[in-house]
Amino acid sequence: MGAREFTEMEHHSNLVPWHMLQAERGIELEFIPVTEAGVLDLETYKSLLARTPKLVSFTHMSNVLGTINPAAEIIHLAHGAGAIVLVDGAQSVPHLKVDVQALDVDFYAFSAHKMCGPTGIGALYGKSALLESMPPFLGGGDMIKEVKLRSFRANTLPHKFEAGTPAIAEAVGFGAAVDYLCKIGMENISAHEHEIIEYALDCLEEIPVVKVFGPSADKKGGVAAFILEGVHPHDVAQILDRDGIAIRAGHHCAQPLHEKFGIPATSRASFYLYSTKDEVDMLVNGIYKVKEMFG
Amino acid sequence: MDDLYREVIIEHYKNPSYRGKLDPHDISFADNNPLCGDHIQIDLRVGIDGLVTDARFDGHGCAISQASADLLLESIIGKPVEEVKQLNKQDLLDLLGIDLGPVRLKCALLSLKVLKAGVYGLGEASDSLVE
Repeated sequence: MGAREFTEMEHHSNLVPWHMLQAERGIELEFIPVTEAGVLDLETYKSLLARTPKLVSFTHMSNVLGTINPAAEIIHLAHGAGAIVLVDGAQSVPHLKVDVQALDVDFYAFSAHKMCGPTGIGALYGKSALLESMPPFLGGGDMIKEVKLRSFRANTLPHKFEAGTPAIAEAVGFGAAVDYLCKIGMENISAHEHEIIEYALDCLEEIPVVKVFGPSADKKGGVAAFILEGVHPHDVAQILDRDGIAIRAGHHCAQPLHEKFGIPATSRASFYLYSTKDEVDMLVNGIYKVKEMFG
Repeated sequence: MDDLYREVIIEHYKNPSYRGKLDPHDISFADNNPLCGDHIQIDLRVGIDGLVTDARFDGHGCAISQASADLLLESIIGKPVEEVKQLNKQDLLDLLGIDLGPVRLKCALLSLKVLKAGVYGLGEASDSLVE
């Protein structure tokens, strides 16, 4: 059936559907390794491409490490090997300016709820030639051009893939979120987050028992996954929560990545357009408090 | 100081009395909490009179899950297995002496779930064991 290539830093949402397809059709899955520094090992990727995969799919930005992957380079190399490329942009679109045409990506997916929008809706960009060549995957409603008793004709793009009654309220909310972010400006959001993460990494690295995962601030988005020696991430999160600091603890739907680093879980502070340096200071003070409680 | 992290919890987390494994053992069972990855294995020795003579737990997880395992084992040594089978959620919460929200309750109950699946000789630990 030919191989499909992914990375070791995928969110479960870009692993499990492929596992299901593997069970159904026997596709082969290959993985681009993540280095100790939290970036993709592109040399191994190049050698994997010799196997002429049909598809290369990767997360544009790791939801744990924050690593911003060199999408243009990965896509260019994949195309050179004859593969189609699907990028998971759920973490990148809310935080970076993304130009799908400049990237020359074939498919690019993202979710509204990561970008100030409602849950239950997202968007899939695809090159029209590819979308034209694909059959509809759900039947009914807007995907119909014409129905006879024994046959139907599918509607044009994008309706062909939008069966049934649409999620109208969600789509309107999604649009409002996009307008809101565009009004602020994606470059401004990126620049603000960069300033915050740079400050946060500097502060966190000063705490002797904290280890932060992922590359340096210039290679990542506004997320800091860390462990505090001797304290379980859930305890860190719970104690911070009581001081009004919301972080996430666990494997962040990236279990294989945590396994790679030999840890069951991390605590993760995420920053966005509304985060401030004062909040970073609160986080740091909170971590010192946790450290004190656990002696 | 935070109620949830009473000194007794931190103390049992940092210096557990019953951490380890028993070899040989009469009962051994392990399970994890898929949401957070907490893992607990419990080994028991049971005398011919049906009393728990020794108990150990092993695994990893948050302070609540590990301290609750230690407190739980401390409470059952010397008790009849038949009595251990009757332990419920409230018994464990009384041992911990704290109120827990629904998410952290799962952390606390993992050890009880593992213990009960073990003493009942079940193949799988289900949530209904600790309701």
